[in-house]
Amino acid sequence: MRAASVQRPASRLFRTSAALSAGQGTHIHRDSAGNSESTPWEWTPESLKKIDMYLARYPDTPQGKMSAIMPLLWVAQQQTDEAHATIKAKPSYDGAFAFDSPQGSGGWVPLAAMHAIADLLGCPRMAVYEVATFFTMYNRNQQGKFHIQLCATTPCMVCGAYDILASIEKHLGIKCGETTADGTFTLTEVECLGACVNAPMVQINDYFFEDLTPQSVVKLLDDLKAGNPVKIGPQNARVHSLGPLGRTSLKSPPKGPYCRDLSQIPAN
Amino acid sequence: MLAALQARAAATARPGRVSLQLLHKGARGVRSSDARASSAVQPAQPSQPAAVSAVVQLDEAGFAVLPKELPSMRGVDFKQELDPRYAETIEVIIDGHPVQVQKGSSLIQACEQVGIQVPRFCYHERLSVAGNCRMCLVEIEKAPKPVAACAMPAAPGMKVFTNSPIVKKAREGVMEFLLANHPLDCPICDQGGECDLQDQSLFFGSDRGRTTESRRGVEDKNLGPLVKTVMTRCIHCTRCVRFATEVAGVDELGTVGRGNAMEIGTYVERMLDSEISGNIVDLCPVGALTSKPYAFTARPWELRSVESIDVLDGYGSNIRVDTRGGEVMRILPRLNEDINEEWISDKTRFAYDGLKRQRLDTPLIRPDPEMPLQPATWKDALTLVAQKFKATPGARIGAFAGPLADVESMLALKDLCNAFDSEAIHCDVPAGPLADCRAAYTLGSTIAGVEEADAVLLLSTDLKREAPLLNARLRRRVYHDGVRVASVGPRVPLTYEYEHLGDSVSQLLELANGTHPFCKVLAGAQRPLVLVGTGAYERTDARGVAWAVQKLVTSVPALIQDGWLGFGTVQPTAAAVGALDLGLTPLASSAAAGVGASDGAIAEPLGLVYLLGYDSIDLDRLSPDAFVVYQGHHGDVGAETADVVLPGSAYTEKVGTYANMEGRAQRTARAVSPPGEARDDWKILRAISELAGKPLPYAGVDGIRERLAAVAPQLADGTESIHAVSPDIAKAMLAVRASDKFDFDTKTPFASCIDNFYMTDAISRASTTMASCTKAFAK
Repeated sequence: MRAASVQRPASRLFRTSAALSAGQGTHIHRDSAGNSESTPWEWTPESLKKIDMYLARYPDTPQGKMSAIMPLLWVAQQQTDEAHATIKAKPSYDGAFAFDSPQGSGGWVPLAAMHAIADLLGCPRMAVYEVATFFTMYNRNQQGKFHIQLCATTPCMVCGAYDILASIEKHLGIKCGETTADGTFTLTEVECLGACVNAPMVQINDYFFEDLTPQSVVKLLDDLKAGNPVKIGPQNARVHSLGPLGRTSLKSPPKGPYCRDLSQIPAN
Repeated sequence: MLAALQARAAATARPGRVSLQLLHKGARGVRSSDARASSAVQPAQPSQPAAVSAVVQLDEAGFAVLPKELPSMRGVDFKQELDPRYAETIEVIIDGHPVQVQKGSSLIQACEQVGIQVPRFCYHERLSVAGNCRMCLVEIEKAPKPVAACAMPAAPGMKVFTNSPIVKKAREGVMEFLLANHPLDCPICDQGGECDLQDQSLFFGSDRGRTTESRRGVEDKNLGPLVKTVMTRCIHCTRCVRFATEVAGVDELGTVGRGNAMEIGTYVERMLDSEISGNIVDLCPVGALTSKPYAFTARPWELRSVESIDVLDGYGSNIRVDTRGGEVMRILPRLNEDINEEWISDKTRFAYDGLKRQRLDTPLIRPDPEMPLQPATWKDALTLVAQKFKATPGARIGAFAGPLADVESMLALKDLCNAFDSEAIHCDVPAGPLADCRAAYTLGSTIAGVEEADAVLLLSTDLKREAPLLNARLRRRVYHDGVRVASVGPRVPLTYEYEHLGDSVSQLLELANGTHPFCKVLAGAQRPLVLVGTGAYERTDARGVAWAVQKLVTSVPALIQDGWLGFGTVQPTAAAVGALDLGLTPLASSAAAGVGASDGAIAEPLGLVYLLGYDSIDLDRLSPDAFVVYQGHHGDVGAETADVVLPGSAYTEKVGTYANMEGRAQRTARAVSPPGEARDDWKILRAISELAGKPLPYAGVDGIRERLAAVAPQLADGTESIHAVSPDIAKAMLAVRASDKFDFDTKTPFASCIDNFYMTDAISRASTTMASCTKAFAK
């Protein structure tokens, strides 16, 4: 196991927030083989292009530049997603599409990348640490190739999220916050991912896999590991988030009045 | 013969500076009724400094004739003059009383101005407002819910209630949440007895808890050898974080995580590398940050406090010495707005364990040069020294005063040597060629005046280590007002941005000749400031450097003007200004710190060397037949070389006058008794004079103060005021001749006068805490 192990307490106390159970352990950095101050970090050309884009959005002052800490951490996390190219994502219905580049959820931010960001923005390293530890979507420890984020907030929980969780835990032999020995999967429990209608669901790297059953999630994981094509979105026959009656509203363009046509308003 | 020593114990402890100013200087809030009665809402007009504007008269020898009444800086309050806020007040109704408070105050400040204490944890008057502890909640009429008094500006006519049922309930709620995760370990907590949380929980805490949750645990952080952390006790007031980033200028401390999992820490393990890090121990309202060396040694109610001053650097910080059973247990800062505000440096705070180690507690005599020192009686030791004084011709007697010597003992030493026709009384100050000009060897701007400067040039100084608190003041000036700072000297981090112009004499000469671009900045400033480190005079070309400095200073008119003396030396030792005021001879350079080599003034090798706490003696240059007397409190280098050792007192054990780098004379207080047979230093010298047959004309402490008043009145009045040098005298003394020619050493870079902040004198060298700091931080 690569990541620090955190036991999920039996009952949900107010201290067992997502921050603690999200595989990040404490808010203290511990040097590990792949993550220390001396680990090399190089921005890729694509990342540098994105950084330029983000920096252009903020004022060129010390404070203004510090606003770019968040997007830059995300750029680092996009850069470290190694699994994206191996996921053969298959849209489950017409109109859905797969991302052509990593969106960030599958990566992690090494300490060296935080330092690179601080140097780039000319701000204290502590300012970057503070942001990176505050937000739970920044992964500060090395993740498995596939990062399974299991939603266990109320709607998913009611629809059987913990059955899914038990199935994954049994199948992979890890608990929440842990990574499999071969470094393929990291499992974390997260708060609402906003796919409540299609509960229960997991997010694996950048893709949502919805309407899961304890059996289908096992197959999904096996397919991902084997590099087989996987269906993204609902794993049953559902289209979008439609209910059993199919589409019942918004069948035609809505009647007016519409909002004003912005293209008709002259600039300035 | 010990009568002289034992007679009249120096029980003249000066009444401590009572300074209860909590907020700003100047106008304090007054109740409206009083204000109407006396219409005294306006602050008193500050008295102007009485500047001497007469042309300087020179006497036959070419020295300036000084006025009998020296102009005094006392009573001048720049802030009061400059900040118009102090003149304006508004009326607020606090707890039903209409009161006048300063405009721009927050509610917590307003309450404080009229003497109402609002409980708080995160608010601190010298730090930015965080508003995150919520303990200072008050009720405002028509406000829907209680508001944090620290973050709410007072508005005219605002009706504030600090004691209503809503306020009480709100504070009880806040307290309950704070205590939900705070451990109940007060019996084993060092903060116990002086803990804000403990005190306030007596008023707002419940006697039982309602939480059934388990308490959270937080890992302790390693912040170095000075600050002990028990992070589970932390209530996240962020005072330490704000102090570190705003005052100390270190960014290592921050808040990581969020919500209930939030922690104060460094994320990556890192020690707090700052010379003033110890202040976070005072700031911490709970027991999360406590003093590591003081851990588990005493309880606050067992301690006896004595108000004194610090002598381990030239800053003259006001301190409180806490003792128990004749032992110094800890040292804390004392408020003095003009000097240290309420901070002290880590050396001041933590070097006290050096007072208990390596002490000289009995007279020692070396019977034979080959033999070790043997314990002796005071009678034998003093008689032997007195005989040597009688037997040695005056030209072969040399005396050296060290960095911790008080003014009284240096005066007695000078009088003693003069009585035996010796003029070779040296002090450990590399003031070099500018030793006659008080404007040059003190900090003319005063310490608080540094915050008035609008362009600063540093020469050969690492201000962060030589005077950490002065550096913190300058940092504040840079950050709040964008003042430009440039440095010719070592390229070192100063916790703020500055222009490094170089480290060689060439840059200084360019500045002196007016050809350097930074001269324009100095010339354009209203109150420019040039701060010189004594490292500039520790060079072989010290005379030339001094000449160039003089030329630079006299070429910028605004540097010396009425009410502003923008030129000064950062003296690193407490003895320096006092020694130069008394007319002791400074050592020309550190290379010349050998005996009998000062300025070539002494041709003959010395036969009798008297070391008053002087430890930087160059053994190789000491003549082998010289008789060395060491008087001091620590068995440092000086004592090892000595033939006779006379045990003196350290600064916590005597009442001694010290002048800090701005020339402010202050007195230490006797907190504990000297160990063993050690005695007051000046009394030892007085005893020698009696045995040698030429008794000094003073027997008691009043006598020596009278003598001091005659020799150096600026040190004797005990008013803690600064006697400013008048601009005309300063200009006359600093004038240079264009014809002077000097050889400059352009190869040797300008360096700081200290290498290791943590070990600069006998006390800090003997301290184990300072040794561990050296190991942890010194580069």
